[in-house]
Amino acid sequence: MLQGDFERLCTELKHSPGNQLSRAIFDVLELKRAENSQGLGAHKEKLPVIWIETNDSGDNNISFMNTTYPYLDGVFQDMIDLLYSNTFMAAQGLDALEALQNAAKGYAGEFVLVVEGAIPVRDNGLYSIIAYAGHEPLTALKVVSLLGALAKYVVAVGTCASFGGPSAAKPNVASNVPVSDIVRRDVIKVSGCPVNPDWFVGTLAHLQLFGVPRLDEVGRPAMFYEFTVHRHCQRRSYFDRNEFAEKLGDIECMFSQGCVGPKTGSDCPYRLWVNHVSWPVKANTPCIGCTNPDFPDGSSPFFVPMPQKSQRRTNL
Amino acid sequence: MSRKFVMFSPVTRLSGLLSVEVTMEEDVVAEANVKGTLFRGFEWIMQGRHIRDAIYMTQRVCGICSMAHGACASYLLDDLYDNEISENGQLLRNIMYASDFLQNHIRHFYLFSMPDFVRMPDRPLFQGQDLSDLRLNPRDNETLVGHYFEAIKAAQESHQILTLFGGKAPHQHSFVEGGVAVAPTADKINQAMALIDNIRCFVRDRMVPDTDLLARVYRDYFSIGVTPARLISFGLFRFGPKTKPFCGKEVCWTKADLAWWTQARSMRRSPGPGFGYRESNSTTRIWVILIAITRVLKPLVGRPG
Repeated sequence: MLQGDFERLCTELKHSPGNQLSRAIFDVLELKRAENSQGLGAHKEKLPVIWIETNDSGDNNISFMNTTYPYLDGVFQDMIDLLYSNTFMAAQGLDALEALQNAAKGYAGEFVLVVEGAIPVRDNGLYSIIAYAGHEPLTALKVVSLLGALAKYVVAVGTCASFGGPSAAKPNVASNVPVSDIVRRDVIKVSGCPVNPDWFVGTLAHLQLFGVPRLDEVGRPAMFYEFTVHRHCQRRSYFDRNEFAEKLGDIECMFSQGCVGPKTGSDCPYRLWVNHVSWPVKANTPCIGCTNPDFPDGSSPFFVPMPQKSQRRTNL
Repeated sequence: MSRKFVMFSPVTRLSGLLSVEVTMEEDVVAEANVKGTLFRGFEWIMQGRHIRDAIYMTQRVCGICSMAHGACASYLLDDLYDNEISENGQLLRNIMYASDFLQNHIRHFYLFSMPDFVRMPDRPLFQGQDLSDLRLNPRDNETLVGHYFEAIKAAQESHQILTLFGGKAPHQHSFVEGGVAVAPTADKINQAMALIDNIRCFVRDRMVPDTDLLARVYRDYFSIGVTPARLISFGLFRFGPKTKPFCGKEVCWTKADLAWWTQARSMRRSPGPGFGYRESNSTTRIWVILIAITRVLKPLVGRPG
């Protein structure tokens, strides 16, 4: 509809009884929306997703459930078809295995493989078993390498899947490694312990709308991880004036309390967590760098200032 | 007698990986061995680390109950350092702990358990659902499916309370040894009260009636696979300036504990009058937690942080 038509419509109907003007405009809007449905964003195909859980705490799927705008049901309705997920799927036992098989076959080359958790490689991967087919253990090692070859995209969700994370913390008895060591292809690493739901749902949105997002030098979507926590921290002015907290709970800079914000790539300071209400430094505690490739060993001891961390860590 | 092995794997809708190996004799389950099939070795990870790291590291044991692990670490450090906890601090810790419990209960009941009893919509996520023992009439079924989707928001709001005071969730930051790093200012109390009001309505109008309905329709399930009452509890919330150890050598297995334990066991074995299924289900506990949060939040109003 042209501007002139719109103006004429308004003039004609401005004194009409009932809600004729509103209704007419609404009809036009609906028409316009239908026209636009071919355009970018309006006509999105849902992503088929196979979500494999391996060695982590399951915190990433819990954090994913905390997504707002869209809420979890909105994600399931408009963004993804979750074909297999140990956490959410209704099917159990053999039915679940069948669903996995069907998904892998039916959507080969199309599905997004989401891996949550690190992959233990010691003893042929026996320290993480997705399921048993009869008595045959389907190890995470086997399943992820198989599916990794069939997937369109591989997304590592959480720091364990991205870099090893707490699962691979010293002494790493089960030899946990990140997904990228197993699949030998590009992996989109959406790290965090847990992942912020916005980072993960935002990455899915990017895949759905535009394909693979621009990644930073360690393979994380740059739109969330490009800048350091320190750069955007609300308490940066305290740091610049050398005003440091004496204890947790203080309002000054948390560098003195072990904050690793200066070396941590994440948008926590303005993204915030769980409906965007808070983040660790707002809660008067240090950032422990949970998105980093060297988390947690590179951040520990958590409450010791950065310059002294490495010295203390040699005792680990 | 013919023996048959059944491998039930994977057991889905839980935090972690699980399989059950069942041995059947005729039609009876003779043995069921449950295997948790992921291993990270947290006992080794914790060794040699700075002791205060336990507050954040141990939360990484589990995503749905992270607060419980962090709380234990903080309580033990309180005991070790002989910390004096302010009354507000102790109360606020209880609120944070309870919010994580609310989240856990709601998600467990709706997202993890309900697809065993309710015919879910025909979407990829719910395909392959076991339909062999679905008993609800279509109207009740539809209602409960609706509540499944409402539960998503109620659980998210529970975690929002934890985040208001804890910085993030799961794996919150401010419940630490010595107290809480966040002051319960009026704005945060007010926001938490608004959230808890929403959650209370959800529990009252949805979760409790739904639990009652399922407990009624599947009444016979209460007597299937009853195990010996090998449960033990040393309490949950902490009050007062000193955090007492829960299982230190001077507390564990005193005569009083044994007497309580014996009494608790006998109650579980022979339910007295009025000790029916309602007490044994999770909604009783969720009510206690809701009342506890509201009671604790209210006196906090008007106190300076």
